[in-house]
Amino acid sequence: MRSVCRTVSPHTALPGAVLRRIIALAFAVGVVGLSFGVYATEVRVTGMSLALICAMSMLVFAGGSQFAFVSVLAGGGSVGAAVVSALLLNARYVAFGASLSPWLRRSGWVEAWLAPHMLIDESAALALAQPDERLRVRAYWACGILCFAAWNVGTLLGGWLGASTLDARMLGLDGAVGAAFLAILASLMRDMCARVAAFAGAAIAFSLLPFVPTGLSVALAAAGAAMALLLPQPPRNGLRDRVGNGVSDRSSSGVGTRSSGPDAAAPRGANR
Amino acid sequence: MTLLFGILVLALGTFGLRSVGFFFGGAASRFRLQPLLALLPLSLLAALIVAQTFGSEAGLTLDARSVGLAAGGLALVLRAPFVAVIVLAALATAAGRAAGLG
Repeated sequence: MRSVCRTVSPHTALPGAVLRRIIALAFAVGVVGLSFGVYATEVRVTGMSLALICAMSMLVFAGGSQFAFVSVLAGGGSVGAAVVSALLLNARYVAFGASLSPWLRRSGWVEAWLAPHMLIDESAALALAQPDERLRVRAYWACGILCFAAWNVGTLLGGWLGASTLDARMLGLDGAVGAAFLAILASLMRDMCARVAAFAGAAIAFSLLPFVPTGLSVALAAAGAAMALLLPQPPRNGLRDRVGNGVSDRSSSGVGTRSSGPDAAAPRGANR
Repeated sequence: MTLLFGILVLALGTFGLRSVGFFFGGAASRFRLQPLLALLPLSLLAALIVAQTFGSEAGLTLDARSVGLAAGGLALVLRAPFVAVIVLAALATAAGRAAGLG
């Protein structure tokens, strides 16, 4: 009753295609973690031991903000300034958490406490790209946990091996992350509303980036979604009436379960 | 502030930001904000792509990452599978960087 159609049986695990995507993302996260470990040890901030660097990767688990934290300190900034600039980068998690919450909120208390910690760009994006509620939850946990493991192993290895290892920039992984998000975004572009939300979000980020910290400009791009909602809406076959409570028609068309049949569950380029 | 304390504050603050989103979403469902929440990832992903590709200390820059994104976009248009899109984008970024694009 909660989603318009169930496309997987209760016993289905994650499809191989989704798992392959998760492994690819986790690999990229691991290499970035490796370069974080290298960077954080090589800049030699006073008092920044390998143990502390690894503890940070465990407790913070947010790549961009960890790089920002260390680079502010390396640039001679105070610990307070480092914390503030790192937290500004993480402001986007508020919005990502909000868009995930309809599917992830009803779990036990261990999961309830662990779920927010597994929230990174990769896990959120991959989960939201899944057509079905159950798949979304599984993809979120699988991606979050694998990326967490990869991030921490990467950090440890990088800090341990030092500058002799290859870094993520040399491998071009900083460019690949954007492309990975583009692939996920493309699979979510179902209707006009979705396109407007995406283009508005990109435009907002473009115009704010020169003036506002990166994480904040991404968080503020959430206004793009509101803009898309202001568009005049064509009628939608009465789907809204049928769904009633819970997930409304536009929420399902935006991220997943709108039409029927297995093909609708695998939008163009989504799960190959 | 000592380093350890700073890291703990960052960890707690980050957890707080992540949790606020989850909590807000629960509240939002009571106020019929789900259409908004459904469109949110699209705006955020698009913004993330822009920030990831063009963001820099100085604001906006055009460097090897743009080449990678373009290559990834092309691969997507040609319907390449996900992993191929990532690998091609990484290769293109690395090549652009090796060619001196920064």
